[in-house]
Amino acid sequence: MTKPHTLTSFDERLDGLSEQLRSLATTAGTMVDGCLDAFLDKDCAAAQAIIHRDLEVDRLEEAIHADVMDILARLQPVSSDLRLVLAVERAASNLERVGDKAKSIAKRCLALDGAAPALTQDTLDLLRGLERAVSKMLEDAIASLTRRSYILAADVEARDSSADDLYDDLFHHVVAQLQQDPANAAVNVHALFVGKALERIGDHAANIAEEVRFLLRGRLAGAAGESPAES
Amino acid sequence: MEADATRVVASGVRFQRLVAANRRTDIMMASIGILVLMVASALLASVLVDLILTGWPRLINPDFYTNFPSRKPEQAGIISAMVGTALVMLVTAVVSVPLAVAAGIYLEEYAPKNWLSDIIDINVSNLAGVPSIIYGLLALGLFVYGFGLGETILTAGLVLALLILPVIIVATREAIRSIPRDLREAAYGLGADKWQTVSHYVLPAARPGILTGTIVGLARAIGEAAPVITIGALTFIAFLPPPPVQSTPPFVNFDWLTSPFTVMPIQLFNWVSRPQAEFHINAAATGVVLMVMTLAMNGLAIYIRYQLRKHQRS
Amino acid sequence: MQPNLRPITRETTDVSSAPGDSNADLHRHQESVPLPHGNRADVRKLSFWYGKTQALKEVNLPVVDRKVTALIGPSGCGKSTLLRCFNRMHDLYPGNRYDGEIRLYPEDENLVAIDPGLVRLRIGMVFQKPNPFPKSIYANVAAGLEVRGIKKRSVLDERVERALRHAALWDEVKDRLNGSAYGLSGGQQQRLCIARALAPEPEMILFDEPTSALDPLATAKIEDLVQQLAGEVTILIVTHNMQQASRISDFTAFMLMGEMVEYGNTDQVFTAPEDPRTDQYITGRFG
Repeated sequence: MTKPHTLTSFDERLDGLSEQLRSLATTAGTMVDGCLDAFLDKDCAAAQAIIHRDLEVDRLEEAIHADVMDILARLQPVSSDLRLVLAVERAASNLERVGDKAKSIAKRCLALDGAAPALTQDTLDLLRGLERAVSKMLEDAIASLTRRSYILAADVEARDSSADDLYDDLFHHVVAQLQQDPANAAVNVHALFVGKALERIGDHAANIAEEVRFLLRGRLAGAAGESPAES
Repeated sequence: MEADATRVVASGVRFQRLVAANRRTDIMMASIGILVLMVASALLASVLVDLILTGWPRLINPDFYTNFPSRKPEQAGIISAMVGTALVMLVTAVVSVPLAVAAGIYLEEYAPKNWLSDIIDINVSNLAGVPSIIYGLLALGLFVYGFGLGETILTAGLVLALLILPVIIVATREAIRSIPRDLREAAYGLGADKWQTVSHYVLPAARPGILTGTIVGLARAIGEAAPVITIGALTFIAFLPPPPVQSTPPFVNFDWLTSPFTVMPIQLFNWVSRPQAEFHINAAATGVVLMVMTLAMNGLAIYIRYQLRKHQRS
Repeated sequence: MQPNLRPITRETTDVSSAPGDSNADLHRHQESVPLPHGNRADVRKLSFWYGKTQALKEVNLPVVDRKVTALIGPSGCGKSTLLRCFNRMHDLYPGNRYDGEIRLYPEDENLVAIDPGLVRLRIGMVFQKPNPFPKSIYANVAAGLEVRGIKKRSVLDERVERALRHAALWDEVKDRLNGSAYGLSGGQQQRLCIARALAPEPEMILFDEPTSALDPLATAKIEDLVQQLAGEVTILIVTHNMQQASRISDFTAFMLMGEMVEYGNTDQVFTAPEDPRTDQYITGRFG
């Protein structure tokens, strides 16, 4: 992996691609980090900024797609190079979806418009817990890509189920709240959707981690070739 | 940017000078080559022209071509020498070509690479450099006295065949060696054995080269006087050998092989060594005929080679 | 062009004496490679010397029947040397030595130990440079048949036509079969050489960088042809062009300095090779 290509521009192109993915990940990451606070604090300015940043995410993703197509057409990568390019391509798509989810969370802040979120402490805790979990998953998924860490990627995938569990808890909690406090049904439903969006962000992080494992081992996760001895 | 631009112009000028210098060298070399060629051609042409001018009175006289040698220079002709030369050449070609081609094929394709084949190899090349009179001595001892073949067309043909054997062997080997390796591998790759490969693919492709070597050898043999004199060819032959073909069965006749004979170079040598100036005219005319025969042989070789190439390529 | 040639299933393979046992060795060595059964040949611990220089070091390679197996590797890795062992081309030059085996099935003979002429009658070869004989197109295709003693004109006519059709050349040359082969373009000459190799219906055809002297269009035609033929005849191809190997082969073997580094399904070798040296070579990180 560390050996340079004979064709030096090949390395430059692949490095450039990784660099673009990193800035896409950073941008999407900041959206994820800010969106829940914007929702809970009803900070419309921050929400607007996040929504605006999604344009940047879309632009970066398109740039990566264009670059990937160009690299495939002109450099015809094979083997580990091919897997890297494909992994970056798929990670970019996932990050774009992450941006969409963060944007939809921020949008809910605008939809509430004025009404302070009247959520129970438990709901708040679950949301914040979920946000911390998926945000860390996303961060680690990107880190596993840059560090080529199979172990970290596998760990991220494993953590996806705990994020799912948190969402389940939130779901049951919110359903109970809807019965107990129908007056605040709207804000609770919003909170449930926010939780769902966060959980989806966790899924995308897990997807990225799966791509990293594919990149490192050359097998699609879940493919028949998966042997336990290797992990 | 501007500095770069000036540098580009400057190097352009420098390269112009370099190119001009190279062109001058080319022109100089071409001139020297043309000069050398012209000197060589002029020498050959002047010899030919001198012979033609000297021999003209006899060359235009049909009797010269149909008369036998005579004590009277104005009646002397070269019919016996021409026929003798033609028949000796026939024997030479028939004996030397198959032998030499076979030897060339053996050395190139079959011979194992060891010290014995190395010795044979070196000696074949050395034979090409042995003076022709030595061959004459060999033939005198071996064919004339040893085998008792006498001073006949057969003996002359055999000695000249020996003389040009190495030339054709070397030419055959060169021609075979120049056949590209992939042609050979293509034949072997199809499952052909060695003989199929050599006879079907290598030899046909080597034919132009072998032919050239044969003609070069025969052209050398046609002008040789020394070995033929050594074996005792007569200089005064007032009869023709029996014709090789006849009208009654078996239609061919090999009596001519054992006939006494003379050849053109001997006739020429004989006349030129006479004191009478009239015979010198005959000698010059004979020289012209000999040269025309040689050139005609070369011409024939070029024609056949051209035909073979055309057949192969188009 | 000949769609009936393409879909080949193992059932149509008549070489049913698939040497299952003989694969066991290789199976053990390369457990994760799904090793195909129904091999036409098996290279086992083959070493080869040019004089004192060892060019192949205990190479193992299965050659699957009626599939395309590509040999790749940097210059001097021994891939052409290995290919030329298959029809004993090395025997034409003095000082070469084999050690080990190439088992040829179904007879299960060691082809580096039997008469080279016998081997060449069964295994055809197409060379790097188109090398037609300086003869007519017809004579070129008929050459291999004549070598095998087939003289009857009607049989020759029929098989020459069949071979030329197989090589996708018939339509281009049917009106000038008696014209010289040298009048054809480079790509046509190479297809003629393929027809020449096909005419005697060999069990295996070796291709030694068959397109390295051709332009892209002629190359594509040859590649298409190789794939078409794979249904009928076992093909072993050496190529410098890795894209070519990935395009047309079913199995790929990567060699390095006389050793077999990796053998596997082509898709696996080109997406996820097992050996880091294979990855370095095919991604262009070599040397």
